[in-house]
Amino acid sequence: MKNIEEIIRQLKKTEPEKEYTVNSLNLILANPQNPKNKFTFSLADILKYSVAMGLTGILIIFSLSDAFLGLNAKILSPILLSSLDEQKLKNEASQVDIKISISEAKYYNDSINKVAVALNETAQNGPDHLNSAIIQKEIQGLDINNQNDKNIDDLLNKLTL
Amino acid sequence: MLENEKKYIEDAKAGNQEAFGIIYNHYIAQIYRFVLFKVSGKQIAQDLTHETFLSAWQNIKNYKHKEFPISSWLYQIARNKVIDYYRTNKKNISIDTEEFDESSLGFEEQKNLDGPMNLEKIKSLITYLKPEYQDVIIMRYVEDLDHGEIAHAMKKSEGAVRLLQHRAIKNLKELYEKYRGNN
Repeated sequence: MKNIEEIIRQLKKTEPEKEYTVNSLNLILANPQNPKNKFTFSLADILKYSVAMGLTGILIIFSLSDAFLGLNAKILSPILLSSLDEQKLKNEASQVDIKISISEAKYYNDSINKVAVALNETAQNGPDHLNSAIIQKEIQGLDINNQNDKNIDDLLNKLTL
Repeated sequence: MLENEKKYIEDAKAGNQEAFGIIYNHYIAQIYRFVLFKVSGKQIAQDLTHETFLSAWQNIKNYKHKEFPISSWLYQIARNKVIDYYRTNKKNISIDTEEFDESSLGFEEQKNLDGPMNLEKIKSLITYLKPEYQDVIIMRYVEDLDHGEIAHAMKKSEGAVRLLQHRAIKNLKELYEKYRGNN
């Protein structure tokens, strides 16, 4: 018995009739061609574009988040930005602290004398000069139309001239 | 593969009838055989082959040439035409069931065929195989296509085609033995 594969190969001798092929071709070519589809996307194209858009979206979300700047800059960015240099940021932070300390020391130095005078006056006279009731009473006691006061004003004017 | 096939395809896309005629004459025989062994009827095979090439001519502008010959695309069209034929004619052959239906073989009729194993008997046995098995046997053994080309035509992996080929031959041999045992 012949091998079954060899027998199958003999089927290659089968041919269509010449007359049939000629007639068939003529009938086929008598038909018009369909126009090319302009918007045909294969499954591979759809996957390719959707993956690209998805990754772009994820990148945008990361770039807008603080986590990206704080944690992922070194991983995701091929060129490290100078503003993100950790050592430079530390130096800048320490310099800011020093400037703040100096300005605070100057303020305390200027204000300490004023505070000392105020404390001394308070200790000698008490806090009466700050009492609003006493101040009101003194205002009421003032007589602006008093003649003696006018004379004093005249004398003072002569001295200054 | 047809020499300068890519050029002929581009010309046919541009509406050149002569270029399409060259492609047609090169591949008509193998597509005809492919259809004939699946439907086992000369008139039906001629009609389905004609429809296959008509679809190819009408839609060639949308064909994207890849590494395989255009025959892979023609086989795809032919397969669909055969499937449509069986659907519309509701032929009493199970084309989608996994297991082979032995009762459909019709041994009583086969007994009338005398003599040694011949091509007609083999052709007859092939039609009782599952459509995928038929495809692999015809493309591999009749047309000598490589596994990659068959895989492209059948839209399967090469591994799947090798497996199908093994099962198809095994199934055909079993059918043959049953046929011999009944004669």
